[in-house]
Amino acid sequence: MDDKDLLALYREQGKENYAFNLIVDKYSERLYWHIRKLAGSHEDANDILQNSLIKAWGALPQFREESRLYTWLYRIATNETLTFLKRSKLRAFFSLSDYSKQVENQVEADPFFNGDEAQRIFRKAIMKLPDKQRVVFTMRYYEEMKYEEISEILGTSVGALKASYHHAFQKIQDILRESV
Amino acid sequence: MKKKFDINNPKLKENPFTVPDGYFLEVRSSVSERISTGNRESHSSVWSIAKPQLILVSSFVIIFFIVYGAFSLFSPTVKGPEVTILSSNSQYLEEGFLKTTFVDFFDFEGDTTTSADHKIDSVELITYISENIDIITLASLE
Repeated sequence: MDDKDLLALYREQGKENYAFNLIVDKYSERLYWHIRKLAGSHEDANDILQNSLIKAWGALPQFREESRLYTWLYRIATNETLTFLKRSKLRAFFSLSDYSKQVENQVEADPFFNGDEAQRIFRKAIMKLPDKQRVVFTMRYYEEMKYEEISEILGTSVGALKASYHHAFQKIQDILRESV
Repeated sequence: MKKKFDINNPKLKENPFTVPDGYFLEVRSSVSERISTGNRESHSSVWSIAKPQLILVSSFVIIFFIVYGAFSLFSPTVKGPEVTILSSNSQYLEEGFLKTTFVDFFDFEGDTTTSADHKIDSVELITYISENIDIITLASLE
């Protein structure tokens, strides 16, 4: 069932829950992997995903189909992840602990990390990027999204995204050069 | 020798993460459950993050003011010596001036120089009277 049909079903009287469950079934996995690559741990990604879907449920009556359903959900998930990361930094600041060290330890101790040593080093380098650069880098590098698509989701110009990706790429190379 | 890290290595683009078994099947039921119970969000607010630290800081501030207040109330006040001398002198001068009249000032016995200069010998006094006062004046005195 495509997005138009799902939304039409959602607008039918008494079928909101059923239609929304179909939307969750269709998109939750893709959204999860997007969030997971930004947030790091499974527990955090799970919380962010559930919060994003609940927000989507609350905002769906106002969805005017000016963008595609997937783009809209992606935007909610990305914003929710950025808010979560900001809160994590705030929490680390108030508990007087080093946030970057926490993130590094998280990558080291993640029981659901299945990569080799090179991938672990690469993940640590990505987690050292500023949040917004990490979002752009992840969408472009891992998900191989077009700049136009990323622009639609993040509401940023294509030129700014290209510059952001270039900076992120350079930073990662510098970090890897130092660590290897 | 250091190994060069190739960022364009396709292996790095592979997803290194896994999830617990059956996780994606559980997501739907978890979300449905939270929607039906009206649980909007599980994350904490900024206030709840900062609350313990703010309480700790405010406790320190309150304790500081209590200790500072106690010290300033119960410790003896020590003034500078110059101020004391100046104030006591001015008080002395002020009181002395008020208690002293114009006549007292001239009759002051302590002024020994003035009293010694004005002592008159009794023989000199009789000589002076006899030369300057006539018989009529002497009669009127009687």
